[in-house]
Amino acid sequence: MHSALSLDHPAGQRVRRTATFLREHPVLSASLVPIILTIIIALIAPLLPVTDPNRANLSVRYLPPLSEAYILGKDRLGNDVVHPESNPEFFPSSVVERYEPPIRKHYVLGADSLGRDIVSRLIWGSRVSLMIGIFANVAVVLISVFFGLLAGYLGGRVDGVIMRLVDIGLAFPGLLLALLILTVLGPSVINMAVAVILSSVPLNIRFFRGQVLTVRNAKYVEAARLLGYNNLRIMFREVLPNVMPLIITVTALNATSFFIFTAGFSLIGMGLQPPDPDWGTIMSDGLRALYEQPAVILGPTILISVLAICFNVLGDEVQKILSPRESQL
Amino acid sequence: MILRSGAAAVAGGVGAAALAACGEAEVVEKTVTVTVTEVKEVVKEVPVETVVTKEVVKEVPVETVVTKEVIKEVPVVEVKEVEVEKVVTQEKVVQVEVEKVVEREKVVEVMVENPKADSLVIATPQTQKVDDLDGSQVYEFQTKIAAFCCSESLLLYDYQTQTLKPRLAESWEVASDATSVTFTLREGATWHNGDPFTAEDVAFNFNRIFRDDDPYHAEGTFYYNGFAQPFYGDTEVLDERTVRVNLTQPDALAAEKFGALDSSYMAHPPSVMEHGNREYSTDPDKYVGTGPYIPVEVRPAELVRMVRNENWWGPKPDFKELIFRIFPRGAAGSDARVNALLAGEIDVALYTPATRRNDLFRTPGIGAKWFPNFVLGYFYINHTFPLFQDNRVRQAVARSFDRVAYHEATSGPTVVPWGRFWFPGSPYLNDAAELDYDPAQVESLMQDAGFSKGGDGVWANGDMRAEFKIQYRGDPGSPPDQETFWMQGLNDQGFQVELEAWDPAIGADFDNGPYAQQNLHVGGWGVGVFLGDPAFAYQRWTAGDLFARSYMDNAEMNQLYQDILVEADATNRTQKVHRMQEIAADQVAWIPNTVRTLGAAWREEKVTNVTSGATQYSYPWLYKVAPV
Amino acid sequence: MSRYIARRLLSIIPLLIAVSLVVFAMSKALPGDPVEIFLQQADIANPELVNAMKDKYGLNDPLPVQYWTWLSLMFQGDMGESIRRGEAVSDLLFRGMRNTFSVATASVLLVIVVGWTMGVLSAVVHNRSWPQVITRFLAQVPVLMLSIPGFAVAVFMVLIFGISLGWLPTSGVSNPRAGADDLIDLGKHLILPTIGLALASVGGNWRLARNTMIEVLREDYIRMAHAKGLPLWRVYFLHGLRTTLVPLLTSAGLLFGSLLTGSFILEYIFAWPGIGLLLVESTVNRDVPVVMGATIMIASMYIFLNLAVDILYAIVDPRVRYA
Repeated sequence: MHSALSLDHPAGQRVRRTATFLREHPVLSASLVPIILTIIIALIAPLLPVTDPNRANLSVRYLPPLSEAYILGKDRLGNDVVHPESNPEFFPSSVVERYEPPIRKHYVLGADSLGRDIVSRLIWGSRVSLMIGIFANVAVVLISVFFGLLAGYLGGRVDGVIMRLVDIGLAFPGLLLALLILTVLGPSVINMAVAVILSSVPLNIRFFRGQVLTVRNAKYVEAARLLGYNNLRIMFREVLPNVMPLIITVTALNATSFFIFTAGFSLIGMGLQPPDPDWGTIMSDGLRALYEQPAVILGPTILISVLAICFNVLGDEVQKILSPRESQL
Repeated sequence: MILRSGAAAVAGGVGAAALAACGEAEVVEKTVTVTVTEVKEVVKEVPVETVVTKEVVKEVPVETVVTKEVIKEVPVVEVKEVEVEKVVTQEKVVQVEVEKVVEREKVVEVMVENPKADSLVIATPQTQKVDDLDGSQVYEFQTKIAAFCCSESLLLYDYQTQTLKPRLAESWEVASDATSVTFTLREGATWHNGDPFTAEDVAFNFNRIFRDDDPYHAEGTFYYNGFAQPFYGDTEVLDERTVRVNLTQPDALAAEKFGALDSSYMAHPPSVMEHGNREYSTDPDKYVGTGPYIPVEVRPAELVRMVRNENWWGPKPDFKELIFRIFPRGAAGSDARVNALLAGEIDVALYTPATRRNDLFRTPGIGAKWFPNFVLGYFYINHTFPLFQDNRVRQAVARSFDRVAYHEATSGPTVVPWGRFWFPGSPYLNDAAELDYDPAQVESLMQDAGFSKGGDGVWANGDMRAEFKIQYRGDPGSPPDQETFWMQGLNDQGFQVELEAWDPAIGADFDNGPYAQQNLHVGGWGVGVFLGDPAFAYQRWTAGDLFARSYMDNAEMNQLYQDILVEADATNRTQKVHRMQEIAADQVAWIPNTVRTLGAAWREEKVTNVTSGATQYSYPWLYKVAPV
Repeated sequence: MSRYIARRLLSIIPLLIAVSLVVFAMSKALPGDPVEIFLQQADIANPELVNAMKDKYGLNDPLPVQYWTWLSLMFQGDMGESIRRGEAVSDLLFRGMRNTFSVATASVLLVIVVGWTMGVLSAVVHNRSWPQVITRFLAQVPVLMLSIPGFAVAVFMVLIFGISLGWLPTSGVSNPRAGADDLIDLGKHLILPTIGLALASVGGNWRLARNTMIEVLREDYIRMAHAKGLPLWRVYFLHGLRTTLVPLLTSAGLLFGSLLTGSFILEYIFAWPGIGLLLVESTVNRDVPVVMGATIMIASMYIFLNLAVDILYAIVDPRVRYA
């Protein structure tokens, strides 16, 4: 393992270069930490020692954050039986295997309307939320960059066809389009991703096409054309790298709006289906419980805000690095 | 019942003022009436408050204490002599008048302290047809809150006392063979424009509401006429103040059906003829009713404004102006209603969400009032599903989840948790026919049915595993918390259950449609309005709904239903209904899930005590009563 | 110029037709039969009634006929009747749109007043090389605004300014005790929803205005203006701001268009009877005439707004006309 990272090995060099890069750009590294951490937590969620995120327990309904309850034992299905007081008589019939003494359980962020642990719901919910916030986002960018390149660079009939379709898509504000798509397809995570992608692609295509148009007639592109390179090569080797900074900025902006998008659709019952959690669902649960237990909404809001800030900062930083003129900003 | 209407007929000559707010008032002895009128004059003459009235109040209860003893002495069953009945009602009249005296005094007080109390702002959720003013055309119970302040029916079913009370009709009599019902109309009742309310008006309305071929039936949205329509023959005008409704089939509860059901509200015939049902019901300028308040302004989705009807037949309505502020329906509006109440923008909030109970109870100046409002949720079992063809399995499912515990934990003091079809205190309530939560019973029922638990803890009988789905209706802002909790209860009892969103797009065919595969359905939220009517319950149990349809074809049940239609004796009818309930429980026609809600929360500094009749389960107007 | 405008106006006709086709197709793709849904909820399951109702709403005709009927009726201003509410769709839409329009307009004004001003100011501050603390702060505030969900801020504002302090109304469009057209009352009701709705857009425009203005201030003609010795405010606000306004106007136009869809969440929190609540409610209940009417109306408004922005752009920047 260690030898693989030795300095003269190519992989080792890459690691060293990355490390140097990160050290030189502390703001960028700092903004990466929460994002990577969230991704890791989402990936290893099943391995983490948290309780079943769907296990309802009305006796700890709306438990405030930083309070503790007791795990009395395990029921027949292997779920923890929890009670705010260490009263072993509370669940006499359903507890099969009883712990002696009961285990203390900390509800760091409290419990929701059904007494489900918010921390474990957030951890499990990150899987769905990241899928929408990151993977749907990547899909949006890939699709729009591809069609934006085609339309912007090739122009002519290709441009005409693509842009007419985009115009139709653009005639519907994003939220409306997503609502209609979800209604037609029915509520589920995949469909929500599809709706998010389809509703944000037209605007992104138009945006990237505009950027490609500005680069298209640049001297270096003309030079490449004179050298006889084919269109594909020019598009991906010459044009694409020059719109790259914008791609990253747009991705960052999209991420924020996608999180809020999913929260909205969970609120109207068109997102992920219960009882499985995602941040949007927890947020909409929290919205209903806001006046009874404001803490429920805090967790997902803070998480979404922090990630959004990180994405924004990341976008800005990357833009600064890739386009030095902007870096003076 | 017949006895009582006879007694009421004797009371025909007594003035409307003496009958006052309480429909129980039937016979008044002259001496008492005199005392009352004296008190009234005193109130009118003295501008603000008087000690005199208070003294009178203190004097009168002495009488009532005496008569109360009479009530206790006379066994209810043996009341057969009309004279005894008279004694009881005298006492009631005295009580009511005392209350009214204090009430007037209180109004003066409030007006002096707070000029705003002249008008009352009531927050209601928006409904599908929120601006309906005609009571017979309103669709949802929230809408009725406004509509029932300006339109009236002949009778009123009071759910607190579970009796019929006079309203536009002073008395009623169901024929002994239950094939007709005769109403004697109130003398002095007028429409808002001054026209007298006559028997012809009643005939016009019953034809309009219950006859599909009536020229004025067109465009009307009579959602609830279906419950009485099959029984409706025609209406005979006997004289100016008497009408008789002839039935096509006997019905001992005809007075309730034609007098007090949602559909039987009176509309002003000339206005309906001129403008048609829809315009009449939605435009305050074209609307003419009989109720205590007159609508003057409707701002769609915003408010309905009404002013006091000075010529109303009843006691003078308390508020000069009544404003119904309309909030969005569902979860969207309920929090906003509570916020507005906490901020002092409104005076009364109806249907406050349980999650805000602490806010409401903690805030000084805000009180809460029990609304006799029953919300009934049904939990349907698809009997065609192989697993559910054994009624022991259905019973086990019904006993597997603790609906009372859920209501208790989540809604706490804002509802009375209840898992039964009839509400607490109802004569029809039958403990023997209820399927309460009982895990031990589940075990034995499933074992009886030949099931045993497999390694994964799920009941299985050969190839048949206890697996099914629960459907929930996903409304904006309201996640299926209750269904989630029930799912867990069922899982814990050895059923493997999943949740699935109900798609309103797929029609109602549960025998053949995609939902034939789905097995439990939470739905059919009803309200207490029909709970007094066993015939309605029978429809629910048998032909009324979805899954129950094909499996309640039970000869005994059908016979009992025919019997209760003609059974005039309350005790016998109750016994028969109990038997029907037992059959329904054995077959598990539905799993009832009932709560009695805390309906109104209001700011105490503005109004001391508001009972919203809002829904017809209690009183159809808003009034203040004496502080306790 | 007029030729350009005429050409653009003509170009939206096929677009409008395409949009109407999409809306119509979408309404047919919605699963389920709207009439049956309605009847089922009213506890009726009678095939004759279903058929009668379908006839009433023309749902038994062939699709092209239905499309043509719908389109021609719509041109006569008749969008049909809401299946659920029994009210004319145009009345429902007008009401919802009026309420959404007021809050959308207020939001755009807030974006212009706060977002643009702060953006320009922070660019000037950056340009004048004020202390790092201030420039950094002014650069990061909009990022924060962009990242915190507006509705979360909105609910806390209701708690503080509405309930605890009692300064502002908590919900609704009017105080029932006020008159029908009381503008001051409407203004008070608008404050909190507007802040909630516009928060992210204020952040976005702040950032956009700042970045654009910084770019512009680096241009040669600004240096020239400085060199000429013009007063600072003239340099910034006459020369600099004029160029900065072009992208800002575009952004404001698009923002206004998207705000007209109504924000379901904000309308939910403030019990604001706007188009967003109406749209979601009728979509969930499959009230197809309302969904179709709302969609086509929003889409056409969006198209015309885009057109207006384009034309405005062409007026400001003549190069666009020949592109």
